[in-house]
Amino acid sequence: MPTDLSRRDVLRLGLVVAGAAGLAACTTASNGSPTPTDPGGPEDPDRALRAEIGRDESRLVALYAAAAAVLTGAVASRVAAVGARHDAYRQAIDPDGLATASATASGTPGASTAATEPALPPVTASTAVRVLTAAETAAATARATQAASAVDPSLARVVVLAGAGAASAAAVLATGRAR
Amino acid sequence: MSESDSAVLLLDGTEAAVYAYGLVAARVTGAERSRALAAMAWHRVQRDALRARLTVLGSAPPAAAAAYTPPFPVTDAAAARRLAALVEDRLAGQWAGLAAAAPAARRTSDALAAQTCAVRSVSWSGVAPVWNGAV
Repeated sequence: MPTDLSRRDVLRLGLVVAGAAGLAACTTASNGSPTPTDPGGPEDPDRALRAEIGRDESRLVALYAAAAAVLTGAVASRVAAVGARHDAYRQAIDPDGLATASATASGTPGASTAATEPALPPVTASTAVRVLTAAETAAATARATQAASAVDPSLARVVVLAGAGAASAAAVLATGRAR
Repeated sequence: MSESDSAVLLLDGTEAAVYAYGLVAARVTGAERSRALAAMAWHRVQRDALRARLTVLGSAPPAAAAAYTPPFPVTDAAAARRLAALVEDRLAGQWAGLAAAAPAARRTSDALAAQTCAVRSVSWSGVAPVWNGAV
């Protein structure tokens, strides 16, 4: 049953982030594609993609936070654990907070405000879970497409894994395992 | 890692999955057996597609091993479910690796294959790891 993030998940996160960081530090990927020496830096060709996915992941974090308001007990903690994954994905893909920076610079609502605004109106628990399931499904579809536009292969891998995680979360929510 | 190298790695994992689902199907019953056989059929299709892809990439697809040793004894239904979940989790990670090595035109379909494996892993274990295939 998916409950809290397990020690294994924490170790996995460390391995993936360390792997991505190691790959990103290279100047040339094994397939010859250029990779940034500074992920998220001014020379990173994936800055816009990192910011876009960072915003998406921040919205999902906010959505789970809003859902927590209408869920109770064990269900609330299980759903919160599923939602916590999106913060891990955001940190792995947009470690420099480009999503927040771009939202601030443009004056548009972004990650910083999305995290504090209610993203889900007051609803029942079952509706909240349905909304989250739909959001996870949409995120999985989006990540599969976004991975194709990544220049850095290590970023593409992390984006694909974030999509796999979203698809898994949707399956968990849809089958009621998180309830 | 090149696209060819990633595809060879994934092909080996897929051959192992086909073998593993034979073990799984022998230990589960009813709807679970049907799921195991459907998964085995899906992996066979992916295996054939990977072989064709390797040929297009100019690499000779390696032959499958005669047998694969599971990481633990598969003596009952619980162990069979655990094996299926482990195999699918690893394959999700390997599909992500292939997607990363592939050109943009092939990444989305590889990413969707990774999602299929990840979802199937959850269906066997009930647990959705944060990162598939990371261990």
